[in-house]
Amino acid sequence: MIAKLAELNQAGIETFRAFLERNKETPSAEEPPYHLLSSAEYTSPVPLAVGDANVETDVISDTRMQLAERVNYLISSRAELASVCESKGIGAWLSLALFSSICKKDDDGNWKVGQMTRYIDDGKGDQWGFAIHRRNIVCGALAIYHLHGENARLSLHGAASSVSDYAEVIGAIEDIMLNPVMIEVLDRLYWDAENNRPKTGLRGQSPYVNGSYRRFVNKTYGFYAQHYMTYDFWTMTADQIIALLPEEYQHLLE
Amino acid sequence: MTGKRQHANLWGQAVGELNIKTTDVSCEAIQNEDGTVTMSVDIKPTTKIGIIPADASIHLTVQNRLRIQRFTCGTRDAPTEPLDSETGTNQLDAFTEQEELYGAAKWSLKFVDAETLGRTWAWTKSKRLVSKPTTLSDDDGHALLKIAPDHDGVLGDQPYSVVFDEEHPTILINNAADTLYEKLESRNEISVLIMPQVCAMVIDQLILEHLTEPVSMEEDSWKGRWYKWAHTRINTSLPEDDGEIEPYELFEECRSWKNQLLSWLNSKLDAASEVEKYLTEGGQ
Repeated sequence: MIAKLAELNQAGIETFRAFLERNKETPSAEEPPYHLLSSAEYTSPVPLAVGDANVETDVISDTRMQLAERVNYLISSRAELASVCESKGIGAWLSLALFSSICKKDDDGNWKVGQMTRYIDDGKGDQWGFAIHRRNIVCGALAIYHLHGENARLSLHGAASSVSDYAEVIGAIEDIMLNPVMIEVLDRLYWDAENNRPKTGLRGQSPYVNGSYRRFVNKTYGFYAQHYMTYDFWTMTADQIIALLPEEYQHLLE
Repeated sequence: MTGKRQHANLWGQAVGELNIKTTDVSCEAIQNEDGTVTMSVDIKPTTKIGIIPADASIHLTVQNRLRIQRFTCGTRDAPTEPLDSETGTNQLDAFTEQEELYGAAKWSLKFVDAETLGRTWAWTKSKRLVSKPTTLSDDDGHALLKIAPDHDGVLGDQPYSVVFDEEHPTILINNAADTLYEKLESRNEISVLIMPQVCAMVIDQLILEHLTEPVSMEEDSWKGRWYKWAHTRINTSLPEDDGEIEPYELFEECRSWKNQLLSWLNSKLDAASEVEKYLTEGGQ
């Protein structure tokens, strides 16, 4: 089915939510309520510069990068990106349209529905720090890809059905997420070019290992927290920021 | 073995945070007759500003979630109007021309060294372009509680809720309940607290934060201000984890602290309604 991008209204969101809750409680192979996508009763149109912003529900995207590439063509400007990623109704519409990519199935072919906020914003918005672009699988991938393209591979690595820890941690601080130089620094520190994946051994629980990305990004005690007041990262190059890094990050640069 | 970790910070080499309320720096979004919004920055000749090197460049950032604009504003001794680093104009156009929407954006400003790229001499905290009305202040005149309409529709069918950002708790009012917003905005502090649920919601969040990381009355945050405000009224401290108390006991003690505060509040409200009754009924 091909549907034109729209915004689910409250009734549409509730119908989609009911499907998710039903399948979270009792997994089944039930078809998602795709009929909502083009229904005048459940949606309102979203005018975008691209014109016919069509999304095909049957095509499967395996990775977050593929998912992001697929929806990025819909967006022509940062203002459009912000409008799409700030809308609970558009985020829910995209989740429904791309559901077969963003929800795993078990061996019996039943949906394995994850956290509700991965598909529908919890309604609390940014006030709780859970902005749609951080929690929603599709909007999260779309936002970082539109801003930085393939340079954001750290956030876009992994299956289309999940939001990686990198994506959540980077998405939590918009000052980092929006800054292309910071994305380049993170890529140079944490991307394993040889194996084409994020470097391993830098995750884990607190206390975090030396050089872990949580120690870089953290807003309370990390490298970013220590320096974002006394340095203006927006006027610096990646080399200049890297030159500020203490010893604990050096092994990542060798 | 744990090696040497982060650098010490460099705050000691900077002028530090600038006052954006009255003295050092102010910033304004000006709504023009043609519908455009332009940015204006005023750098005042204070002692703090005078310490900053004359050639330090001024950078203004306006941001709301994924929308951001960076402006350059000349140097300390030769400030200019804010010029967007991409469009070269002073227009605020990444947001929207409607005040209630761009008003959610926050501005911040930095003085950056001319030679050591990125090195910041002075900075401001982030501040909303358009302040939300204050409905309750603490004893020092700082806002404790703000009020705002729910433009983003996050409330769904709820008439109101309390939301939290780094600066304040805010009563978010559903757009469908316009009269409620007007009533709350125009009433005095005690009237706002007539909504005991609001106070309870803020205290619940305060306790939740306190149980995660102890809140201090001295800290410059909404938590610190609310704690100080509450402590002044009931003269009782929030219980703390001394390592011997069981988590559920600590929680129960916090709940008891909350009940004590709400009892105080109810007694004040009873007294206020008696006074109002006396005034409206002419003392009969």
